Amino acid sequence: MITAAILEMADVLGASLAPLFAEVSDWRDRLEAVLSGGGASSTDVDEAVEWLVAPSLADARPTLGAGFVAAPGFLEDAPWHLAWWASAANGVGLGGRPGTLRRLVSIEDPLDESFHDYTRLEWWRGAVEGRGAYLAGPYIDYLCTDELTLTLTMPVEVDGRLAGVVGADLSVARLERLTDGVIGAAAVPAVLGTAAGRVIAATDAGVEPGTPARRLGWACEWHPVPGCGGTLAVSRAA
Amino acid sequence: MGMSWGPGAAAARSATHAAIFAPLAPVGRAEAVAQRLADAIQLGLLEQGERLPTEQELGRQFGVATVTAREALESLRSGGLIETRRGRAGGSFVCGSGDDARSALISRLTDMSRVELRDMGLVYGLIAGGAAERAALFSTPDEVDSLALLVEGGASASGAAARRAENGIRLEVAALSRSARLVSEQVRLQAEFGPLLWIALQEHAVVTGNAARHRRLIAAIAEESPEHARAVVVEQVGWLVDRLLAIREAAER
Repeated sequence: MITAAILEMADVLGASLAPLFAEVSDWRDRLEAVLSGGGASSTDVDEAVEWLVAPSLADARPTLGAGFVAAPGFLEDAPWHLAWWASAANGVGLGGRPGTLRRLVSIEDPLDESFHDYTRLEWWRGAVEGRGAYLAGPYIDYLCTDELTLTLTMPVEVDGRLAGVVGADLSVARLERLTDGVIGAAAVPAVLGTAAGRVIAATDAGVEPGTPARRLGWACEWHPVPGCGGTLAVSRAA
Repeated sequence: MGMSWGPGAAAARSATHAAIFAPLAPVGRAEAVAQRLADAIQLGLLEQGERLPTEQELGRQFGVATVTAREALESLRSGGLIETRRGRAGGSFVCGSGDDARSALISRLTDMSRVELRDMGLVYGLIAGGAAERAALFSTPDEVDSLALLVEGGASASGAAARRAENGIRLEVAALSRSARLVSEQVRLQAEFGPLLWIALQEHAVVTGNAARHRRLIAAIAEESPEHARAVVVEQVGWLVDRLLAIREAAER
């Protein structure tokens, strides 16, 4: 009975969240097509990525940023390369800056002091080591979104070789509006969490997003949310 | 017990009111721009030999008139922090060593009262301590590991590198709190108080003492002990403020 209620909740959440995942996997498929055969330059990649992601960053959807990050050495003319765009909503909040759709400035010279090896970051390692969709966070991204964020990434593979990862930054505050209708109205106490074990939303408003699931103090039995690449799951709460 | 609109509440209200309508930055705009740049030189964010943006570009970035930016550069020049070269490869270049910037910061330190310094340290410690307390509730072993890397990277450094590491560690801990407002408050305090607080990170004994405290903080976060994490940071900041007061004392003599 209770399990049936949790499974139904997972289905309803899947219906509203799966389009976000479908969008990123569609970008992945199209990028794999663009990159196959090799020889793409970083400019080709930038044009293709902007054309793909810009429409998704134009409205009030939860997507705050999106793009492609190349595997080191994959692009001949740019050993390290980020093609990432931030939406107009991104950065308007606390900074009070007027936002516009813009490209994220990145340091791609490994000798520069501000260079950051992105292959050490959770959103990269999760997608590449798990060879599939990965959801990092919720975390505060103080270099980019300035708010509580989830980063969804998927590996891009071309001719059996890793080309990079494609991904999107999702606003937890905006996702709250999508999940409130389901989680808030739930008949049984429940939590929505990432496969990596962090709370995104819960029927008990006292459980904060970002809390490690292991700190909840009860054994979670996770049921995957359909259409989300195994990155999201629902559990009954104590 | 009814407390609404008692004298206490009225006083709090008028204090807030006064803060809202307090005059903006008592120093002039040119002075504010100059101080921002001098801080960045002391922090090592702007390095010796680095070329500064043009007057027009600085004015645009800081949102001030070009003449104001020119005035700010002039005061940095007279303070020996930058030099201006003419010609095609010309421009304003950072020439003050960290030590010149340090003496500028020390004179800023002696201009402030001990009461003000302690008060800024108190707020800085509470915000950083609150962030650490929350970080102990939210961190994963992965995140603790990257924090430890940052600490070990800065542990043996002194001068500008130590200050950069210090800035990075504080921001990382604030981010682990998973509160966007705590992060932005920490960023604001770093800009306002960080450069002064880090004057103390010059002597070897202070650098190693500070690193030892960072290690205790990481242990507390790893043990998921929020009270301990908070206590470590509050003690650490209090200790740094004491070092600062000693430097101020010595400089006044």
